[in-house]
Amino acid sequence: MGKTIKLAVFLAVISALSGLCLSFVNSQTAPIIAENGSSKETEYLTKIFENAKFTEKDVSGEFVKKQYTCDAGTAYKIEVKGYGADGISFLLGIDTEGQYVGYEVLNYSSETSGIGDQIAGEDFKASVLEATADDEVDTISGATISSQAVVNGINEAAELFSSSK
Amino acid sequence: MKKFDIFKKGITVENPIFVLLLGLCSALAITTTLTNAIGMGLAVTCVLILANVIISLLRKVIPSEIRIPVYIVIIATLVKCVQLLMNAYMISLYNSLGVFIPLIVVNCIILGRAESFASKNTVLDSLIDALGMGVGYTLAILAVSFFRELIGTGGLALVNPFDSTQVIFQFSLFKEYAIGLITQPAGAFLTLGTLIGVINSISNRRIKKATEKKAEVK
Repeated sequence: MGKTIKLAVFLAVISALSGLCLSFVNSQTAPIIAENGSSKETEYLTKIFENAKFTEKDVSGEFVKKQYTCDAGTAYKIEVKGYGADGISFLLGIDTEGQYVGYEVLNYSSETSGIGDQIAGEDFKASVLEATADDEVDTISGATISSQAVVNGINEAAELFSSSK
Repeated sequence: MKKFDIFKKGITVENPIFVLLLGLCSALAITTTLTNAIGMGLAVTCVLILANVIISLLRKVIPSEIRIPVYIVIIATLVKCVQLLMNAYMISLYNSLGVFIPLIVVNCIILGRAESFASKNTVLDSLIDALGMGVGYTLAILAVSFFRELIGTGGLALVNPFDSTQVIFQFSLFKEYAIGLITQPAGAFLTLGTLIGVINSISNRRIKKATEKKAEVK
C-alpha cells in the first residue's frame, strides 16, 4: 500500500511540474500567437480594399463576427464550423453596390486536404467574386460540408449588408 | 562504446526508419515535400534530444514500475511546448506540419530510445544517441521525400522552413509525366517499402560479404 502511494505521489509531482512548465511556455507564446492571427487578418483586409481606413465593429451574428467598414465597402470576418474541429474563418469584402469584391480564407487547417480545402482554392474564390449580395453562391460538389458552411456564412453577411443599406 | 559509434549507429546500422522501423506513421504522412521533411526532422530531433537528456537525468529517480507513464508525461509536455513555440515563431512550418506535430508524442522513436537507451545510459551518451537517431531519421525521411516529390510532382523545391517566402531552390523537370499517386498515401507505402527493401538488401549483401571474408581469412 505504501509503495503504491509513493508511486502515485511521484507521478503526481511529475505531472504538476510538467503542468507548470506548460503554463509558463503558454504564457510566453500566447500573445505572439494571437498577434500572428490578427496581423494575418490585417494583411488580408488590405488585400481586399487597398489603402483603406477601416472602422472596426464587433458583430454578434451566428457566423459573422466582425465588420470592417471603409469608404470602398465593407469587409466581414466570418467564422463557421466546417468539416473539422478547428472551423473555417474567412474575410468577405462587399462593395457599396453589393458586389462581392474580396474573399480571403484565414484559417481552414482542419478541412480535408484535396476536398474541403477547395474553399480556399482559386476556382471557388472566382465563383464567390462573381456573385453579389442578392445571389446564392454555389457549393462545391464533393465538398458539401465545408463549402455549405462557407456559403451559410456568406449568406448571413449578405443579409447584414442588405439590412444595413 | 565509443562516442562517435553511438552517433553513427543512429544513421546507419540502427537507422530508426530503415532498420528499426520506428516512426513509420510520420514517415508515410510527412514525406510529400522536402520542406515538410526537413521541418519534421528538425522537430523530432529537437524533442528526441530533450526527452533523452531529461529522462537520462532522471533515470535513477524514476521508479521502474511507473516508468512508461512518466516518460509519456515528459514527452507529451515537451511536444506541446515545441508545438506552442512553433505556432509562435515558425507559423508556415506549423501550418504545413499541422496535426503531425502533436503526433510526435506517439512517434515510437522517442519512447523507444527513452526506454532502450536513455533510461540505462549517461546523459552525454543519451544526448549523442538522440542526435544520431535524429539525424538518421531526418536523412531517411529526406530520402523518401526526395523520391516522392520528384516522381509525384515532377520537380523538387526547398523552402526555408522558418520563413516560407525564402525559396532555397526550386526546379521542375517533367510535369506531364509525374505520377500523382506517389504523393498520395498509397504512393507513400510504395516508396517507403521499396526504399526499405533496397537499402536492407544492399546492407545484407555487404554483411554477407564481410562474414565470408572473415571465414576465408580463418
